[in-house]
Order: sequence, then C-alpha cells, then structure tokens
Amino acid sequence: MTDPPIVRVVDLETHFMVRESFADRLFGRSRGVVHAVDGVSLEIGRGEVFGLVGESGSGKTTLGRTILKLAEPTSGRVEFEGTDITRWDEDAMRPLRRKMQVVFQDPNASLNPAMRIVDAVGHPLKIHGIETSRRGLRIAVGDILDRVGLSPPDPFLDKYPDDLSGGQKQRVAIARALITNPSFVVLDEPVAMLDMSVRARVLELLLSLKRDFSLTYLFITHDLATAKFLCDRIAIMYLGKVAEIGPAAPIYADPKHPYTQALLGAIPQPDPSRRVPPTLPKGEIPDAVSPPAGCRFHPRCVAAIGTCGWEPRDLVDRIEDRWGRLGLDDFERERAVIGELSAIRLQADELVIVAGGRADDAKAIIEDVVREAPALGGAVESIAAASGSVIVRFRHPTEPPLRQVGGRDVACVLY
Amino acid sequence: MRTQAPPILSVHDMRVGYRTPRGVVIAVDGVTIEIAEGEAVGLVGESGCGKTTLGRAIVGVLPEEGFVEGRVEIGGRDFTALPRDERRRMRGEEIALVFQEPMTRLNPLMRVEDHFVETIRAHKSDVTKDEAKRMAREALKAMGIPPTRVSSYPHEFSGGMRQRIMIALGIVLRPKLVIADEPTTALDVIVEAQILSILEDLKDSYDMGLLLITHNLGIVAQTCDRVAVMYAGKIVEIGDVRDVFAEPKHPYTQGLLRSLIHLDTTELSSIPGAPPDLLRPPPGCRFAPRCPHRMPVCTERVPVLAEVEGGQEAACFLYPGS
Repeated sequence: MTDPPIVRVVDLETHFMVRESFADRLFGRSRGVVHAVDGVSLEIGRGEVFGLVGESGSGKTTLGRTILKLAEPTSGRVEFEGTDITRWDEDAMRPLRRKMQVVFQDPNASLNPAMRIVDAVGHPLKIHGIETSRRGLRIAVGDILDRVGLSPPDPFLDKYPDDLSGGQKQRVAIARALITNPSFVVLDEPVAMLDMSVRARVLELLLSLKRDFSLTYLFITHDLATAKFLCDRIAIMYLGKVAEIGPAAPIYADPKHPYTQALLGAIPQPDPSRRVPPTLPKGEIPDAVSPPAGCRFHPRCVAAIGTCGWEPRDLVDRIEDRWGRLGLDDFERERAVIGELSAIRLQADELVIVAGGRADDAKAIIEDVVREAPALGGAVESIAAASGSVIVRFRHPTEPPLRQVGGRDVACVLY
Repeated sequence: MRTQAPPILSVHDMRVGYRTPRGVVIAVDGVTIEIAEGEAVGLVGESGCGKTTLGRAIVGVLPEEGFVEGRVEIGGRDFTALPRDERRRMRGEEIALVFQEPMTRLNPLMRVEDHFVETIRAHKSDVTKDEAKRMAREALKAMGIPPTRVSSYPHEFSGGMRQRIMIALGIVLRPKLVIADEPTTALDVIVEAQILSILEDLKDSYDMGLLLITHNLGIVAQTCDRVAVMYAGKIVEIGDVRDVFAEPKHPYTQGLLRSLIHLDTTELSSIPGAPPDLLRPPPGCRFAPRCPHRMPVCTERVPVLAEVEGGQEAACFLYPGS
C-alpha cells in the first residue's frame, strides 16, 4: 500500500444512548450507553476488498455506517480520500455521497415497493443533479442495469421490486449504488438473504464490477468463509473492538486470537467426517452497554489466563455456573449460604458477599469456585472473611493492545 | 442402521397444498421418508422448496388454508387418522417441535419454569406442581440453564438461551422424535455450534429420532446420519450423508454442493435460473429447466426416487430405475 488509503479510521468510537422500552420505564431501569464501536483504527487501501467480520453485536455494521457518516461518531477520526470528515454535517457530506455508497442486506427494505426500478435506480442521479431528464434517466438506468446483469434492461425499467426475484432485487440495489460512479462502496451482508445457489452469482458480479469501476469495497459479514474468498484484508471484530486485523491469507491459515480460532472452528463445513468442535466458547456475546473489562472476549475464552481482565462480576457468573452443575440439593444449600446472586455487592475491583454468621462457609464456597476456575483465580488477590462478609479482591484489569504477530495485529495477552 | 431399528417416523406419499388467491399450490408433492430411533435425518433445500411445509404437515400444524394427503405414522400409529385430542397429546409426549424463533413459542408473561409446569401437567395430571418444578429444573440444567434463572421471564434470556429453553421444553416429556425447523438460523455461528452439539447429545443419550430442517448443508454434514434434498416440493435425492456429500447423484444436489461457499472454496459456482413457480410447475422433472444434463425424457416424464447405489437414491433419468 504505497498509495494513501481511501479510508482511514483512527480511534473511532460510536456510542448510542439506549432508547428505553416501556418495560424499562415501568420498572425504572436505566439502560445506559451502547459501546457499539469502541476505539477502532484501520486503513482501507484503494482497490482493496476489506472485510469487517463479526457476529451480531460486534459493531461491524455501526462501524460501516459511521465511516459513511450515517451514524455520528462519538470520538476519534474518519478520513475519506485524505480529508477529515468526522465533523462534517449532512450538507457538507452530500457531494461526497456520490463517491461513497452502500448496499444493504435486505433489498426488500432498501427498495421502495411503490417505486418503479427506473425511478429507484435513477433517484441518486436526480438528487445529485447529474441527470434530470426523463429520457436521460432511462438511458443511464438502462446502462447500469445492463452492467449488473439485468439485461436486456428495457423490460426491467418499469417493473416494481415485487416483480423481481431476491437475486434480481439485490442487483437493482447494486445498480443504484453504482449509478453515481462511486469510488468506495460499503457492502453490508449483501448476499446473506440470498439462496446458496444464487449467492455465487451476485458475488461474481461484485468482483467484476469492482474491476470494471475501480472500486474499493468494505465488505461487512458474519460469514468467514465468504470473507475468506473475497477479501484482501480483514478485521475480526468483537463487542466494538478489533480482535485481529491484517491480510486475510495468514489469518485464515493460522488464526492467532482465540476468538478468531473459535469462529473458524465453529463454521459448519460440508464434510461429514468433521463434527461439531468439542470445545466451544461458553455463552454468547454480552451486552455492549457494559462490556467486560480487559479483553472483552475473556469470559467466554477457552484459552483465558489470569491477566485477561477478570473482574468481580465474572466471579458471580462462575458461582452461577457451579450451581448449574451441582445437584439441586447442593445448590439449595449453597444458595442458603451465599444468598441471592443479585444481592452480591460489586465494586471496582472488589466483591462483597454479606453472609452474616456463615461468612466462613461462604468463604469456603468461594474458594471452591475460584479453584474450579483457575484462569479467574489468577486474577484474585485475596479472599477474606471479616465481620459477617466475604470480600474478594481482584487485580485491576488491563486491556490488551493490538500487537504485531505473524504478519497481522492481534489484541490478546497470549502474544 | 435404518433397516434394523423400527422407524419412529414414517411418511408415505405425502402431498401438501395451499389454497391461494392465485390457485392451488402443491408445496409438497409425493414425499416418502422414514426416520429410525436414534437417527438424525437432515432435510435440506432452498427457500420455497417445501421443507418447512413438510415438517409442519407431519405434525399437523399447518395454517387453515393448507390440506394434506398421505399417511404419517409415528411410533407405528397412523397419526393423521387420530382424533385431534390424541394428536395434541402426542405432540409433546412423543414428538417435539423446535422452531427458528423461540420467542414466538414462549409466553412473554410467563416465567420459564411455569411453561414447564403447564406442559408437564397438561400431559401428566398426576404430577404435582413441586414435582413438575423439579423436572423443569433438571431439564433446564441439562441444557445449561442454571437453577438461579428458572423463574426469569423469556425476554430476560439471550437468543441462544431461549433456544435452549425451547429444546428443554420440547424434550421434558422424553419424546421419541424431534422435528427442528431451522433451529439455529437466527443464531451466531458459535452459539449455533453449541445448540447443534446439544441436539447431537440428546439424540445419542435418549435414542431420539431427529428431523433437522435447514438450508445449511454444512450443519447437515456435521450432525446428521442421512440427508434428504428437496427441490420444488419433491425429494430429489436421499442417502447417507457420507455418500451424498462425497458423491452427489442428482444434478441439483451436485449444483447445490458446488455453489456452497466454505473455507476451502477456491472458485465460485452457481446454478443458472431460479426455482419454478409451484402454481404452474414445469412438466417432467422440475429441475430440468436448470439442469446441465437435460435430456428429452426429462420434460416428458416425472422421475421417481430409485436406488443408485448402496442405499443412495436419486430421482433422475441419468440413472436406471427412475
């Protein structure tokens, strides 16, 4: 990459206030701030296909939208073709919109069902004042439909989205994105809704359009297999942060971050000799309102060690896990000692269980829990019983920075 | 394996149609399939192929405008001929249903535990409430839901946990057959793998038959013993997963497997055209208009499933017997 990048993102954060539901207001809950994108830096080179890969809740879509300024960044910087656009308002952005376009997952949602194809695809030309005559629009739209494989285009011009198949609708959405001759296109799960037998055709189309129009793609997907085929470089995102980033080839050949390894291992392969992997990360991606400290993946990680960022609430989860394994009688006995999990007091690096006269019993249970979870145990500084309470002190968590390992950057304490 | 154990499910020549404003659509057209105890069969196909309709028709939960012909035997009894009450009893005690979106099946105003108590006591009136609660806790525990969460409400759980709850609820009465329709489609890949390994464990520990309906061939390869491939309302190929994935016989199966994008994909492939409109299906083989091996006979006669080799059956005139 000797050319300057087409997109540069520096320490980008996009946070949302959570809109409270009726139930939240009813029960007086405050939901706080979603850390959708939480300190991401990356560069996308001209002509690249850059893959943004992650599960739902990873922040990949929000990052794509923030780069397009469809979501407002909270802090950090977004540059497009060398210009800082972080604080540009919609008026300032409008001329740029010709050059940065987007294709969404669901063409049914992105195409107005009451608009004919010629009007839907020609709309951006009208908005930008590039072409306004009816005749001119029909010609321009016909040309681009032809380029996206809807040919001959004439029969399509006056159709409505509902007259088309899913694959055809997505081609229309692609045509609308390309009609302004952009240089950068965000593809947000562009084939996820399509049946397998037509997916490949749309991907082939995207690759050939990229060559013909000298495009740069940001390909957002949960599908690591498609990203492997399509992307030059990828970033694996987890809960608003980049876990691993670099050229696709070394990452797929030898994934370093345990999260990347878990994702790759969990993809179902069409090979009956492979079975579901025996060790899987536990649980699910947590709420981005209060993400885990340290490495955000640590509570689920099968390779976690003492320095991954353990905090008091992780111990509460481990108590709950233990109770899930115990017989019901043992569970009831321990709960009588520990009390309700929701009553455990969580402070910065400290957890307090009020156990009254049974503090020593509670301490013994907690010691068992910590023994059963050696990685978490590595972060526990002390367990003490004093004046009816058990106090567990944790080492202060730190977050692993991205470090260069084997031709890519990884944010993991193992390296 | 399928020849020794008696089938827990036997579907014979099933036809399912819907009356629509535009006419009658035959969504499932002459399907015959058997599942043995402890056997997992994957039913795969793309949207609109009839796989979901088939699953629903088997257990008799079709929408009003649907109609069913053919015979369904569950545990050796003719299910379709049973009175409505008896069928309802069997759903739960002998068959479990697991759907894609568990939230539509869980009552948002009912604690998780109470779903179990209700289900258990509806089927077994002699079970006390306390005993039912105990059964609920055991069933949830087996699915990894800790006892501290049993009195929470459905919305307090994540998507994967809800699906675990649905599975726990489905199997609390130890049915012999589970029909799971896209049970992991709404889930992320790691949680999907967690749920699949639960289904595998259940199949092995309780000798349950499993009909896994999905569009995802990778899931079928990794969790099923046999696979049935559906296209436009018909099963076009059925066989042991190892045989079908190693050497697919039907041109549709071949095209579908080639079009799969997986980690070893080096070039893209697709099937030309689109599935037919089932209001007016093409004559002969329904895949013929898209088939690279099309012969004159393909548009004149309808091929039937016939054994190609070693228990692998295909409905295609490339092979004798069809």
